[in-house]
Amino acid sequence: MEEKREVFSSRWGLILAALGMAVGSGNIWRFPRIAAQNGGGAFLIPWLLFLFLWSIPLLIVEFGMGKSTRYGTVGAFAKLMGRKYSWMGAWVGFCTMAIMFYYSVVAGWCLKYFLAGIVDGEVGAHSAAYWDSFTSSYQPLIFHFIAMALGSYIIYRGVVRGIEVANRFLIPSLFFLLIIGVIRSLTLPGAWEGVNFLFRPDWKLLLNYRIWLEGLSQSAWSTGAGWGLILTYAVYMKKREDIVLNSFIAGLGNNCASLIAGLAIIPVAFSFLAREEALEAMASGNTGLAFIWLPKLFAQMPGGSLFMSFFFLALLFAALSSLISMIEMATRIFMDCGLHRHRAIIMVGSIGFLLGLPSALSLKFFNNQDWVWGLGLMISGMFFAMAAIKYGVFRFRTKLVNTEGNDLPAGRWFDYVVKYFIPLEFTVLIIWWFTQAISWNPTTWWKPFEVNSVGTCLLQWGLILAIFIVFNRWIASATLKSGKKETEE
Amino acid sequence: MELGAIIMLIVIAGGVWGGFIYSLLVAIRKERIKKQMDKS
Repeated sequence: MEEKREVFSSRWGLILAALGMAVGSGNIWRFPRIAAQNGGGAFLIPWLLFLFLWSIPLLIVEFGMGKSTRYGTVGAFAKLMGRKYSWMGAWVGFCTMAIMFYYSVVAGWCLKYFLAGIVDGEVGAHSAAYWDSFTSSYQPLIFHFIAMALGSYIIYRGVVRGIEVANRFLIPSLFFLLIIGVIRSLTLPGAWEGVNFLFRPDWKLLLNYRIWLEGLSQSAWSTGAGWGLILTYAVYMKKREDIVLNSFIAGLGNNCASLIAGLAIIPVAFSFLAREEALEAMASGNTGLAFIWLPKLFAQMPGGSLFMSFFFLALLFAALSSLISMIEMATRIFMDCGLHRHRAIIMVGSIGFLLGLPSALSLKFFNNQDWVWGLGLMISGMFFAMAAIKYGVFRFRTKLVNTEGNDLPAGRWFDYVVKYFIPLEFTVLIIWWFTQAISWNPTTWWKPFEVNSVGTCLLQWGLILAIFIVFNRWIASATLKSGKKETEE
Repeated sequence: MELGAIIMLIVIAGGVWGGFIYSLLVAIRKERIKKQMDKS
């Protein structure tokens, strides 16, 4: 069977898509919050360090696997490690799909608040009540549908006319909106106190292990490394295309967006609130900060509803550009099984809408899924490192990364990071997050139906892993049976 | 702003933004070279 495989029309199309994948809501609503809660300047050091010790090496591994195998996550693991490891690719694919189910709900919330900023200028005056009434109504369901339908339509149009065109618009617009936000926030009275807080280093904090683990967690979640998304985009790379430099551009671009978001949000909080109150706002969780505190703060500034709309439009663009990469990842897995893109996307869109419904209707379910599959991504990252280790990191680097067209060769540092650092980081992270979960719920941490328990992770992970391991042979043959032979379009 | 914060702003923000812009410039240069090689 020979079919035409689309490729990105240019390197810039691929880079914009990679930036769209990496820059998501986590850059805007999580980074400023976590940076503020962990001492500002001191936190930035581990956050930046782990970009090079976790995110960029994993992006390189993903690029290498996708480009060399030309399969989505399941096929890539089966091809690189052998058929008996297909379940690992299935895990990576499922974990990201499980995030896609509720991520579409987040994109829907952003759309709703963007519209609310235009139509209803009073959101900020009663933001907590507005949020409660919105999330307890059926409206999130409608906006979840719109977000999923929009994302699916973009993917339906294909790689060049869909993903590339969308990101060519979304990413520059996102950066533009964030920069407008920075200009507005820095011109508020007292705003520089926030900048001072964000960058002031308290060196003693570097002795606190928590700062390092928060920096690693933020870097791991924020760049999208180890999610299988860049692997999917790499399927559509040209043969003579760079891997290492593109990984650096995606990783550094992601951190740029985080810093810009930090400069747009933290000074606003410090301008209108006393220091303790500002820290309280930052401690109110992702949704608490974005949907309750920020509308309240925007309401206090001149032209606040306009800036609220800008902020939620930026959040929507960030969420949408990441959502489409998740939809494409899922679509690619089904396409590898022989389905045509249009059929696959109808399937993925429908499944995504249906399985996102519980998160759209219940914040408790949403938080549970965010906890379980967010942490599951650490396992996905580890699986990518294991794939490179099994193949041989030196062999991986020389045969699959430093190939013709690669602009910046990966050196021996890559071997050490993938072989030693990533397994160590993974082990420490999982132990730390589980220890934290036990301290949050000392008596109920083992219960499988609690929102943030260790038990709920083990139950859901165990169930999914058991299914994939039992059906491994079938998964491998369904993916590889077509023995597809594709040529570049 | 405190001196420490200004130094961190220059080092971290300058490093991240500078690194991003520098890698983009390198990519632009490499693409130009590739195009020239393809033509010749």
